[in-house]
Amino acid sequence: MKKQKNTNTLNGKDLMTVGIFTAVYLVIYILASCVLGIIPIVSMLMSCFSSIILGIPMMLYFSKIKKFGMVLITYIVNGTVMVLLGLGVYSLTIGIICALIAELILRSGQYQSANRAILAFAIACVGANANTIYWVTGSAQFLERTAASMGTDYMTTVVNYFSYPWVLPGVMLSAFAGGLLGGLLGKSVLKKHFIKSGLI
Amino acid sequence: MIQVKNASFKYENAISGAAVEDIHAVIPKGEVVLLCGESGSGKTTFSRLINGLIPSYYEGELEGTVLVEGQDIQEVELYELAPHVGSVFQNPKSQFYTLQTDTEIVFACENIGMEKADILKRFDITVESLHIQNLLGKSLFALSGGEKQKIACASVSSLLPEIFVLDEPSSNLDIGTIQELQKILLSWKAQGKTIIIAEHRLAWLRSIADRVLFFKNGKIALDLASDSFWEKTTAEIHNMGLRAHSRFYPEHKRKADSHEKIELRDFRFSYGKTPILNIPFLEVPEGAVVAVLGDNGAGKTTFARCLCGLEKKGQGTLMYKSAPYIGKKRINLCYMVMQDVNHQLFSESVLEEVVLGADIPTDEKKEKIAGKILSELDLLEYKDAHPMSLSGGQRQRVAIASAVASDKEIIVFDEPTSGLDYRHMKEVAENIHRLSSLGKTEFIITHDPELVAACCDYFVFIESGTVTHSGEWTSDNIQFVGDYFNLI
Amino acid sequence: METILRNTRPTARQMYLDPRTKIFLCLTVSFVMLAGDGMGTMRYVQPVLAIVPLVFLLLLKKPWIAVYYVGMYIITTTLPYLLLPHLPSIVNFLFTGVIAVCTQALPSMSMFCLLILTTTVSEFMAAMDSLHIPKKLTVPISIMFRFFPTIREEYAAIRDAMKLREVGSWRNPIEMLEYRLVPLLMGLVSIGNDLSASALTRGFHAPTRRTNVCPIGFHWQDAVAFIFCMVVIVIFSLSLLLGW
Repeated sequence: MKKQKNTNTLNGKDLMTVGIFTAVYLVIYILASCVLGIIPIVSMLMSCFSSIILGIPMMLYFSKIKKFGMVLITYIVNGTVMVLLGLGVYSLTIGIICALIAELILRSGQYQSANRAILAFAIACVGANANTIYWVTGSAQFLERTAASMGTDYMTTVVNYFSYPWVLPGVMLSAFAGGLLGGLLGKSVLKKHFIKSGLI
Repeated sequence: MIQVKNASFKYENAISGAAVEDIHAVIPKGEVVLLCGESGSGKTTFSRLINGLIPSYYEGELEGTVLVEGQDIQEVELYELAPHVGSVFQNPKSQFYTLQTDTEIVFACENIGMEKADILKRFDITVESLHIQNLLGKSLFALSGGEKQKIACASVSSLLPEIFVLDEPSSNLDIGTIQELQKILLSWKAQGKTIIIAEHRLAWLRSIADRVLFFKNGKIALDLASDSFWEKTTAEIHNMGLRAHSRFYPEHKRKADSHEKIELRDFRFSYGKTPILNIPFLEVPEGAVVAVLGDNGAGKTTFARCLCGLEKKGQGTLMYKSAPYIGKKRINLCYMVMQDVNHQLFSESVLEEVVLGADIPTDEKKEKIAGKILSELDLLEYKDAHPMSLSGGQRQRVAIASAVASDKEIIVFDEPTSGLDYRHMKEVAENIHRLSSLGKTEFIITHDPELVAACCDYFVFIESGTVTHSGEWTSDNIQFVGDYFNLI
Repeated sequence: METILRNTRPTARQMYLDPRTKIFLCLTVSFVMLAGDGMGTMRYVQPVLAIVPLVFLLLLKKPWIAVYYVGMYIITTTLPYLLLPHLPSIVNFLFTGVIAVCTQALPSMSMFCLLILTTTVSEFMAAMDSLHIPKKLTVPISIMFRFFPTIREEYAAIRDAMKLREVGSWRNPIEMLEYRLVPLLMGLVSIGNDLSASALTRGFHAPTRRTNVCPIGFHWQDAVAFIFCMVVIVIFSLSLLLGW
C-alpha cells in the first residue's frame, strides 16, 4: 500500500544538500585562491592545491549522492559565480561538460564506488579550474600589449604564448592530479572520521 | 485529530534517532500532549511521525498507519502537510531560512503560494497575537535564542495550522524566555489547537498539558491525564529518568574556607560603543564550582570568553596563585567546554584526543599520563573509539580529559546541560565533581536549577554585564537563587 | 502594521535597485572588464566601469571600504607594470601576467560582493522566480545564501576551540586542514539537516508557484542603470568590431 514516490528525481532534501555543499565548496575555493594565489610559485599550481583541499568536503558530498544531477548543479552554480566574479566563462562551459562526465562515472558505479567517486571528482576539478585557460592566454596578451605600449626596454619581457606549450596542459593535468590526491585524502579522512564515528 | 495505529519505525541510519515500536495513540482535536522520556526513548521519533518528516525526510522502515487530519502520512508529501501541521524544533539557530524576521514569518505562506494580500493579513494577525512587534525588521543573527524561537513559532503560526508539533523548544532558553513561550502555547491552546510537545523541562508545561505520554525504550510506557502525572513525587519522576522541579536547595556547601582566592580585576568588554561587560572586581575561592547565572544577553558568555582569553579586545587581569594573567595569556590557564562540544574534538581516537596539544615530551610518558587521566575520568575502555561515536556526556568528558592533560587550572562550562534528561544531567554533574576533586576551579554557565543544586558551591549572578550578587550558599543567597529559578 | 514587506521601493540597503538590475550590472562589469583589452576607447570605458562599485560603496556609506577599494585598484593596475622589467619572462608569464589578469577583475569581484551583501534571500528568490529559473537551481542557490553566515559562525567556533587547545599550526598542513575541516563539516552537515527539515515542514519545495511578498520591481534608477549598461555594451561592441 506504500505509495511509490518517484525516487529518481531530486527531491527537496537532495537540493538542500546540493546547496549546503556548494556553499562549502565556494567558500573554501575562494578562500584558498585568495590565500594561495598571491604566492608566486604556488599561483599556477593553485588549481592543484585547491583541489586537494576540496577533496575532503567533496568526498563527503559525493558519498551522499545517490541521484543524477547533483554534481551538475554544483558546478553550474560554481561556474555562474566565476562568471559573475569576472574570472571567465570557461569554468561554466567546460565545467558543465566535465561535471556531466563525472555524473556518468558516478552513475556507472551505481553511486557506490569510492574509486569512481575519486575519478569523477578529479575530472570535475579539471572543469572547475578551466578558468586557467583564460588566465594563461590573457597573461600572454597582457605581456605583449604592455611591451608594445611601453617601448623597447620591455621587449625582453615579451613572451609568446606558444613559447611555453606545456603550460596549459600542465595546468589542466595539475588540476586532475590535485583532484586525484584530494579524492584520496578525502577518502582516507572519510574513513578515519566519518565512517569510524558512524556519521555516514 | 491524530490517529497512530500499531506504528513502528526504524531509521535506516541509526544516528538519526531512536526506533519506536508498536505505538498506539489517538489524539483528539484541541488536546495538548506532553511527550516525555529519557533521550533515545523515541519521543522525537514520535513527533516526526506526526509532522511527516518520517517517512518523507528520514528514511527507514515504517509499519502501521499514521493518520493526521485524515491523511495517511505515507501518502502525502511534506508540503501538503505543511498547512495542517506546524513544527518548531530544538535548535533556534538552524530553523530560520531567510535571515530576516519579517520575511521569515511569511516564509511558509509564500512557499505554498498564497495570495499576497492574504499573506500580509496573516502577517498582521500573527505578529499581533504573538506580541512580537518589537522583533520586526531585525536580522535573525542579531536575536537571542529565545527571540529566534519566538520567530520560529510565528513562522509556523502564520499558516494557521490545526496541529503544532514542538520538539524540545525550550532547551536553549533561559527562564524569562520560557515564560514567553508558555504564553504563546497558552494562546494556541485557547484557540483550540492540538499541541504535541516533546520536552525535558516539564515544570513550565504544568498549566498547559492535558495529557502526558511517557516513552521508554521506543514504546509508550504510560499514557496519563496530566493531573495524575503531576501528583507524582520528585523522587518518582527522577526514577522515570525525568527532570523534576522542586524548590532550589544546594546539595553542597563549601567547608570552612582557608583556600586562596582567584581575583578578577577590571574585566571590561564593549562591542563598538555598547558596553557588554563591566566587572571592576570579583573574587572566587580557588577550587570552587561557581555557577554563573543570569538571563540570556546579560553577558555570561562574554564573561566566559574574556575569562578564557578568547576575546582579543577583552580587558582585565586575572590573579591566580598571586600571578597576574592578562588577555591571551589566560588561554594557557583556562579551558572552555563549549555548549556544542563537537567543535572541540579533533582526533580519530579518544587517546589521541587527550594527548593532542598537551606539552608532554616523550610518547611513552604521553601514553602513561593519558592513561591515568582516562581512568580517572572513566574513559579508559573507550580509548580507541572515535570521540564522535560516543554519547554526549562521554564526549564532554573527552573534552575535559584533554583540558586536564594540558594542565588547565580553570575550566569553564558553557551551558553543559541544555536539552539533557535527568540521567545525563547527573552524568555532567558527576564530571564536574571529578574535576573538582582534581583541584580545578570551575565556572558553570547555566540555566539549570537542578545542575546548580547538584554540583555548585558558589555563585555569581550577572545582570547587564555586571556582577550584582555573588557568594557561597548562605541562607540569603539560597533564597535569592531560589527566587530567580522559581519564576516559572 | 509597519513592516519591510509593505515597502514598495528599494531602499539604500538594496542600493536603490532591483536585484535583476544588480545582476545585469554585475554581468556587464565583469564581461567588459574581462573581454576588453584596455586599448582604444576601452582605455576610458574600463576605468569608468571601475568607478561603479565605488559609487555604490559611497551610496552605502562605507567610506573606508571605498578608500580601500581605490587603493587596491591603483595598486593592481600599476604594480604589474612596475614589476615586469625586473622579472624573468617565465615568471612574468606565469605570475605577473596572471595576477594582472585576475586583478583586472577587481571591480567585478567588488560588484559581486555588493550584489550578495545588498540582496536578501527573499529578494533573490523573487528575482530568480521572475526570471523563470527552474527550482532545481533556485533552491540550492537560496540555501547557499542562507549558509554563508552559518559557515562563518561555525568556523569561528572551531577556531576558538583550536586556540584553547593550541593545535593545528601551519607546520603540519594536512593536520591543520583535518582539524579545521572535519569538525566544521560535521557541524555543518548537522545544521544543514535541521535546516532542511525545518524548511521542508514549512512547505519549501512545493511544486506550486511561490508567492513573493518582498517587493521587487523596476523604477527610474533601474532605467538609468540599464541605459548605462547598454551604452557600455554598445561602445564595447563597436570597439571590438571597428577597432576604435
